[in-house]
Amino acid sequence: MEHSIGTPTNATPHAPLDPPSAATQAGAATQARAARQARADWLITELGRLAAQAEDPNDRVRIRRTADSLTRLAAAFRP
Amino acid sequence: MAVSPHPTSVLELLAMSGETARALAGADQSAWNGHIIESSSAMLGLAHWDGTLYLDRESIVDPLRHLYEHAGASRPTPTLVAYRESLATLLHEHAHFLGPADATQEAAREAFTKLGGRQLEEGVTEAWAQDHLDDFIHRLGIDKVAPGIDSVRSNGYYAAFVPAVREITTDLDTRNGFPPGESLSLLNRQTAAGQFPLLVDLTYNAARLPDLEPPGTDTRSRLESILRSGLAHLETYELSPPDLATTNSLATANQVLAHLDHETRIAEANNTFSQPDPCVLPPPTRRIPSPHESALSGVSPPSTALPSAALPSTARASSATHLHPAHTHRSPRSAQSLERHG
Repeated sequence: MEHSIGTPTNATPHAPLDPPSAATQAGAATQARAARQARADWLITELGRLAAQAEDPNDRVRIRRTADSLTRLAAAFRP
Repeated sequence: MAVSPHPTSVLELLAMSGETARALAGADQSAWNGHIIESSSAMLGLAHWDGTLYLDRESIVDPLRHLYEHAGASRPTPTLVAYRESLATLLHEHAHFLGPADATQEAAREAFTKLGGRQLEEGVTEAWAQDHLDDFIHRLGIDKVAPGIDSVRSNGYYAAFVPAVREITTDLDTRNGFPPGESLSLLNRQTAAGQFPLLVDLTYNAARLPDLEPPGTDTRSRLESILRSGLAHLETYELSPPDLATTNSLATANQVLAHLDHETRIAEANNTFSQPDPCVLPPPTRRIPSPHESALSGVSPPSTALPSAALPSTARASSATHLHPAHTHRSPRSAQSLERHG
């Protein structure tokens, strides 16, 4: 899981005490992007394995449809 | 010989499928470049960013080929279901290509990688394709080629994303006064680059905020953050069995909606507080000192009685409280109401 969902009990916005610099934010964004790309790659590999092992045809299709989405994501990361 | 308005072969079907999907969606354009590659891999269909459509030969194209090779014949339900699943994938992939007139695939691709971008687009695309599959089939005349195809049902997919997207868009329809399915259709006409801005607009406009908030507030960015985080979280359930994925998808959507509601109420309250309705009488507040009273505060009133130093302490306190309201302690709330009504 990359990000957990917030809860309504802690929704009031507060300015951070030490706002991150632009360089720190850019670094974090690059890191998050790399993490998502790595996760997509791992999932595609995993899904291929699961689809090959699935005995139920419905499960196989479901897994392959998920692979479609992650392949689209992986392609988006690699222009 | 007159040209048939409906495809009579798999090649004609595929050629006409893109424009049929675009027209059905009411989108300005499709990024499909007309090329189809029959693939053989883990995936079933892919709307590639270069505009090429990839379809799995065995699971998608071959059933459609079979459909036209046996045109008009009666077929068993499993065969009709297989056709339907192939067509559902075809429509789903074409929906990925849709966008407004000024959309680019470059911007769409970048947005797809952003937090929650894939989950939103897949949920929208699949939900919309499920809802419009029968219409797609009828527009292409497939119900004549495969009688009974519109009376069987096939599975939907993306159970981690679709229920949440339906829940959120249904809520937006209700709160914006749209007909059912309108928010979903509007989102489906956007690429990933336009989907989150539109979703935030629909959320923001459904509240009283457009009439209350001055420009330049960060409410929209807070709403977007809630939506992105919530939709990104759905990825957790992507490999779960469909029932579990559906349950968790709905629970997540309801958390998102509650969080959005909380955030908009805070923004509404903040702006209602600072911009009173001129038609509503203000609540009773402490009397506001006149400029003269303020200017004279701290100065002892003229008195013919005993000098103040000779007064009993209780009488002094009473006199000061009565004559010098500007020096009395005010809570922050009464201070605010003075600013508001002063």
